[in-house]
Amino acid sequence: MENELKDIELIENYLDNLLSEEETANFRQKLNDNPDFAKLYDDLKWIIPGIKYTSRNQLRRELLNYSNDLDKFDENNLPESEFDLEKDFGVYVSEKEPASPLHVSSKNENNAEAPFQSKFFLYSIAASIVILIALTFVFFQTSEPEEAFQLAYNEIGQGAYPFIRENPEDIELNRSSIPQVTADKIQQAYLEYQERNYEEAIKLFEEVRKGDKEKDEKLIFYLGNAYLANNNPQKAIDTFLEITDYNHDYLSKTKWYLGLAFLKNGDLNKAQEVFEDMQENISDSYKDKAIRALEEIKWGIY
Amino acid sequence: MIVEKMSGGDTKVLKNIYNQYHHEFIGLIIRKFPKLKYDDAEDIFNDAMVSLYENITKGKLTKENLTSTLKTYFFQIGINKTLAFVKKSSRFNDIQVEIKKNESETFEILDDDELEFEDKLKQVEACMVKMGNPCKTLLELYYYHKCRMIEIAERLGYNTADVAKNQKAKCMKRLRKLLVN
Repeated sequence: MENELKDIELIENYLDNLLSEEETANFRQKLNDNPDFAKLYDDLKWIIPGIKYTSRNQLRRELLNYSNDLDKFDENNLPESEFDLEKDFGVYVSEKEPASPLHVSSKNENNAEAPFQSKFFLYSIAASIVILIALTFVFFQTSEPEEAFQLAYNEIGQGAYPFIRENPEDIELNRSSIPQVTADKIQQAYLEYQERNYEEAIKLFEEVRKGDKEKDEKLIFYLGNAYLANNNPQKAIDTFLEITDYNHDYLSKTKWYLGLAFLKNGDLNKAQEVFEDMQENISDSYKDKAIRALEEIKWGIY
Repeated sequence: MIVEKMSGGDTKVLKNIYNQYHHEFIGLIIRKFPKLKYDDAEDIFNDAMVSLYENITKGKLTKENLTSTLKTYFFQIGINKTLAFVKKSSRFNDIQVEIKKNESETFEILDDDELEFEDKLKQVEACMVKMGNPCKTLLELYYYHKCRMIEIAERLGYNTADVAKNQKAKCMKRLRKLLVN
């Protein structure tokens, strides 16, 4: 009992990043050497977040009860606030300017006194002008790929997909039979990713998956993200494409980042296809992101 | 002071703050974002309350590093959450929001998409409920409300902090066993 108590404390300190470098090295060694300790560690990685999750839900229920004791909120007579969102918090809200509609008349006004006798010639000129106007419009209205990427990656999305250390269960491995050395490498790869050391993360992810018999969609998803964040969109595309033709937990996220990688690579057509596919076939929050991308990026001919 | 009281895991203090800010905050954001539904606005408010509480219990917010009033601090959290909601929802595609303020006062917001492992967390929750009190309360007080062992001992009627600590280890063991079975 005494040992387990100490082990629990040690694991808690490790998960809270409170150990020194030396202590961390000893900790990892112990994980390798002591299967009971490794099992306890595996369990605690999601038991502790589970306890916090339970408590947070309990707190939310308490808060809902508080609102029952308040006077009814009158939506037709909104209460005043001492704050002004613009002045005090710098939040400015305005209506978006509507996108200019593509309006090109296809009807040529035929002037009886035109100096050109041949109708064919006249129509050719008119058609050329129409095409020229349309192309000029497309040229000026189409987003530059990099601009479109920045809009989708940083404004609609949230940059590189975050790896949240606060959920240590994120590191939990689904393959209980893998050797501890590999498990440590995977964990290290995720930690490097979290620290935005993408090069190092890529190296470790690639190393680990060489020995993989089965595809680990989560690992491949994060590897693709690391390539994208490390400015290598082509590798990101190749990586994401490995896991986009069958169903799994990471499918919608992967498609979103695949679309972003195409944007980064300058291929707006492919990106548009991916987002359209998401609009049709995805039902979670990534569908909203895809719809926003389709609406906000000025897609053109490339 | 409120922050000190809450850092001891006293959720009742939250009720005062809740009552004081609830209508004002919701009125403020609905006035700015008229398409925001009342229920969504209340969810945002409740999330902001949870974040405020967690920032205090985790020691991110202390009376020493609170540079504004608690109310301004809370409203800033709530506004950040509102903006994250507006950004995510296609209902607000017709407006654009600009932030013209130093970013130093913004607070990290986690994306809900991160709850990929909710099923596992729900399993723990079910086992916590099955286990019942005092273990459930003890583990919550320790891991979530960040109470010290001596405070837990006082609240739950153990003679010393060491007794509470031993009890915590036993509760952990029971919870692990329930989860494995």
